[in-house]
Amino acid sequence: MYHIGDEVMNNDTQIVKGILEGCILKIVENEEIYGYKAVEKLNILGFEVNEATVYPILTRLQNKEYLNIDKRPSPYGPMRKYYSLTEAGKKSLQEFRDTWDRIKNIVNKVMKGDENDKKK
Amino acid sequence: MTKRNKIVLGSSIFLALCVIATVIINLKYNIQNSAIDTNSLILIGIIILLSIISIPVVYFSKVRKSKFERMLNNEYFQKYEIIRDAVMNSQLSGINKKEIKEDMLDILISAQKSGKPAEDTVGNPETFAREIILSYARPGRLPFLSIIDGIMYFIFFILGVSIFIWFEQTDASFFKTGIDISMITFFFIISFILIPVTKKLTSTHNYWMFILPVAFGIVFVLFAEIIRRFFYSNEIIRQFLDGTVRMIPNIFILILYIVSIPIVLFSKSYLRRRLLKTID
Repeated sequence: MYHIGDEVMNNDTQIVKGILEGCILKIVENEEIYGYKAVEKLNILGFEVNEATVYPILTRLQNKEYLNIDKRPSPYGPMRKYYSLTEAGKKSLQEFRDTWDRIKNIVNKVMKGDENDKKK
Repeated sequence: MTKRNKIVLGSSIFLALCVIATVIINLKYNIQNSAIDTNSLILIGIIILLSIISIPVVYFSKVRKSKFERMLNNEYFQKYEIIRDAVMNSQLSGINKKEIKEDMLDILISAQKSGKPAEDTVGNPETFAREIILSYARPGRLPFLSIIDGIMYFIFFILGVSIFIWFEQTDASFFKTGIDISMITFFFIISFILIPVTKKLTSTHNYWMFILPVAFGIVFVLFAEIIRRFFYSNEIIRQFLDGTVRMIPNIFILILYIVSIPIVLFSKSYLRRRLLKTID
């Protein structure tokens, strides 16, 4: 399950996976990041996700070649993967932005229409 | 030591003792019948030595914690162990497995240092492991690779056993070495059913499944002895127990076995690359 704010969403829904993937790409675009830090960032933004949710998404993005990997030892000892965006990742992020804007506008229109209907 | 490690180490010690006991009983029987020669003694020595060596090998490869694994507290280590076993028993490549292990240690050690409970970090470790494996491949594709593994194990079993049996009687031609039909059946079941099933079940946190191969070996021997005692008059049973098949009857088949090893390895590597790349 993913928690977004107070809402709980089933993790099987492709839409949630897509949203999280887009948000992770955006976070990585802003700064080079490692797995645990990505979870922290998402938590601060309001996604109540844990490592078990974020790590497979990072791996999937890495396998799709949207993320570059740089390995350096962490302060605690084990090797740590630092993720940065590839050109393909930047393109995918742009596609996500466009899709998100379009869907957001459509959904807002639908919701406003619904509110107007209620007022009538 | 965790329950998993106790079972793994215990089953390896038990298997080694079973093999050593069988070899000693066989040796005693041969001495009584004056049917012992230098080659047989060398073979017995090798089997006993390999059985003894197998225990530290299991300890160092499956039980002993690495430097970074020791940094995890008990709560975190128990979760990590389940994820690690599931990933290591999956069909992912060696490089992927090593990478996932490193990532897990970094993520879990970081979470532990921040004071987060293991339950909040990992949730259900079996689901976590499954999600990681699925991030490399579509569900349902990887089990196909188990069949290729099975072919590989079977080839090694046949080659290994043929060499062992021939070594006992080097005066006879290697190509006249026959393997019992019951033994071939046993190897077939081990290669194509038991190893994949054991891997699958141990990755679902059922550690008792580590003793499945040993238990199956004992059950198979008991089954063979029971049918020998009660149904030996039946021709099919007699053939199954004492009939032999020359699995390597000539040089061409031997070459085929040897050549098939790199072909099978290459096929697996090629298929894995193709199957693992096709993720959504």
